[in-house]
Amino acid sequence: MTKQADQAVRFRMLHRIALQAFVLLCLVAAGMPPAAEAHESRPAYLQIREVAPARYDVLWRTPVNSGMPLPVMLRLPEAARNTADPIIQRLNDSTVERRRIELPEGDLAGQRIDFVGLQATITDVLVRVSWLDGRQVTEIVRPARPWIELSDRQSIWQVARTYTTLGIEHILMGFDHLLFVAGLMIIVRSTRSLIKTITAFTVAHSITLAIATLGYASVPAAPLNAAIALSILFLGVEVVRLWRGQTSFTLRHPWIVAFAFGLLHGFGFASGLTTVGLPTSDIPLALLAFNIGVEIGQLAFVVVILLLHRAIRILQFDPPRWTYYAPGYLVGSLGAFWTIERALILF
Amino acid sequence: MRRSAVGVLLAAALCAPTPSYAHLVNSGLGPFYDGALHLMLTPMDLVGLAALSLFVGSQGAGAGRLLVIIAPLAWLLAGAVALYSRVDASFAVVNAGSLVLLGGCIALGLKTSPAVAAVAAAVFGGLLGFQSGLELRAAGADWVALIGTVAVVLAVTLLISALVVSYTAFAFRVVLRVLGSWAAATGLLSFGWIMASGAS
Amino acid sequence: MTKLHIHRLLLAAGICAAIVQFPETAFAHVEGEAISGFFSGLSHPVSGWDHILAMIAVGLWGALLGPPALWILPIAFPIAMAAGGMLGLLGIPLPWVEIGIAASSIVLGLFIVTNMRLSLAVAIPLVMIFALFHGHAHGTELSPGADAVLYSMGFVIATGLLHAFGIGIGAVDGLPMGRTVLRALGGGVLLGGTYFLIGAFA
Repeated sequence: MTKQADQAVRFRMLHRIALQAFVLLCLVAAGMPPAAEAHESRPAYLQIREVAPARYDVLWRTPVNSGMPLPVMLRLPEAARNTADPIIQRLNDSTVERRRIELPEGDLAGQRIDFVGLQATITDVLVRVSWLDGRQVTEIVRPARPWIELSDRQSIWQVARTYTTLGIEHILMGFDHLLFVAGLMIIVRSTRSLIKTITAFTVAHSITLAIATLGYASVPAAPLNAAIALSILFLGVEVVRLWRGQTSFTLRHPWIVAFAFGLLHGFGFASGLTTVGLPTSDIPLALLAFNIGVEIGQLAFVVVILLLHRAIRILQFDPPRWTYYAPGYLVGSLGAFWTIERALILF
Repeated sequence: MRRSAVGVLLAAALCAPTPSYAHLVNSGLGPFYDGALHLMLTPMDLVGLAALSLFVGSQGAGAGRLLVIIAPLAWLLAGAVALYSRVDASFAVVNAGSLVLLGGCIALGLKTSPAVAAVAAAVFGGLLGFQSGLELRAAGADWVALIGTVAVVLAVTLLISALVVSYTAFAFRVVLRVLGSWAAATGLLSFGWIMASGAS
Repeated sequence: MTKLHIHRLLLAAGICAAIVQFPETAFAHVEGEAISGFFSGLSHPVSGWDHILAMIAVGLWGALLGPPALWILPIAFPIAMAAGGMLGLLGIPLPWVEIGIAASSIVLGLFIVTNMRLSLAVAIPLVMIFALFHGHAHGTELSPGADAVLYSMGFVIATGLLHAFGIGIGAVDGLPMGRTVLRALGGGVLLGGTYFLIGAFA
């Protein structure tokens, strides 16, 4: 009897020590996302368009991350000759280089293009080549394999895969979007409500993503980002209301709020797609694939969070009171921080 | 005589260069996700972690809680040591041995006290983490990748031990023990395999 | 055992058999040596009828003996088999391997035909010794090089699925005439074993 009690006490002590260490680890982990966001991986974009037989327009756009141009050199096939001097244009967030080349040998298909230095970065390159006779190729080049061998045939399947991948990457790197989804997950209180809310968010951002990508409407980036940050802060406030046992319109109808702010986030996704430089011809397919990619990433996030939450309950963790509040504080304080930061840029 | 032969074999296996990828698999999402992906694509580490979670999880919710807290910490510490060490070896053969031990314990349906389970979590979590850290270093990764790996360790231990705790039906216990036997068998074969390729 | 259980078991056995049958064709386009290592591991235990027969026979016999042998035998077998495989890989010789393999089919077939009921204390070591021979034969044939763990995993999973297949067939025990069918199958295993034994001496 006493031995059992003794063991129980020792066990509880062990447990408490371990828990403190665990919380420490969580804090370290929680500190990660902003750090990872610091080197955001906006892709570079290479467009090659045949304008006359064996003559090509080349557009090479590279992102500028916090003032640093991308340390990558474009190496076109050796046979290619510039017909005019390259024009280099420096924009706020990217550098655009245009040139016109001719290939005496004729076709670009079967040639190799190297991106020297890409392997040392975490940037992807979206390559898009189109020929006069309507053939076209869209492909992503990754740092692990910093070159592309152009083949002149590309299936619809390849386009779909390329843009689906882009969509998944965009949502998984977009911590502000994920944080908003996390906030929604905190304030809903039933599975039914969760499904409704997430669906509303999805439908809404799909609508504005399509509208913005197809060029029917556009929102300037700076205020948009501030507004997205504000939507997260807004959820933080609602979480506090929930803790206090109060109720509000949002808490009663989270899906309506999810829909309204979803419209906003859709513009954000669209900016991710348009900085890539969308193809001119297979826009609908690329748009659909990108959207599907975003949904896959978002659903994966929701499922993982739900599973982890359930697992924590099954293991009967009895964490200190404040860890219950931690996710809410994370949403609220990061939302507030981003709102202030992004609002300051406006002025 | 025979013991020294085993010793030579063991030394040869340890000195064999890390068979893992020269590069990390590029996730396209930066070092954090690269590290996470590395663990998911390294069968030995993943199977070892799964076996550890199955064994400790089958000791009940209390042991499961200790596992979820201790194993990632041990992984992080040992991984960091390996990441910043100059050890030029692979501990894959040690991992194969741990797999045999853990799988055997599961197959036998062994019951232990929470304290022993905690020690197991620390020891095997540390061993696995050390090897993982060596792999990360060989791939030229940094501590951010290690954090990414540990995040996956946390998730995997949490999910698997919760799964084991929540299913108490007899049929599930049987499935668990069969899985343990498979894990031990995999460990035994891998052990022979690594030794054989290390010696040749 | 209810009818529903039998249906489920048969379904499971069928799926297992299907998985083992065409792994490589289905995933032929998956790149990478690692993945191919897994599938060559998966296909190795099903590469010879002498192995297939014995492993299905373990499942059949287990089904005849009923629980707990039903699940203890498939737990014991893979470990002993992997131990044999390890010895083979390390080049440590084991006597009478070919004969042992053929004998395993004969003995197990005989047990099934005669509905022999041995105690666990005898059945487990016996099956483990057989497993050792089978594993050793595989081990000496393996050529290290591919991904060790993936190959081993595939190998062990295929073995386990073959047991499951045998247990699945064993589920007919619950049907009328089922026992007779089972014992007839045991006769088939016995014949096969005899054939391999003659081959081992020839």
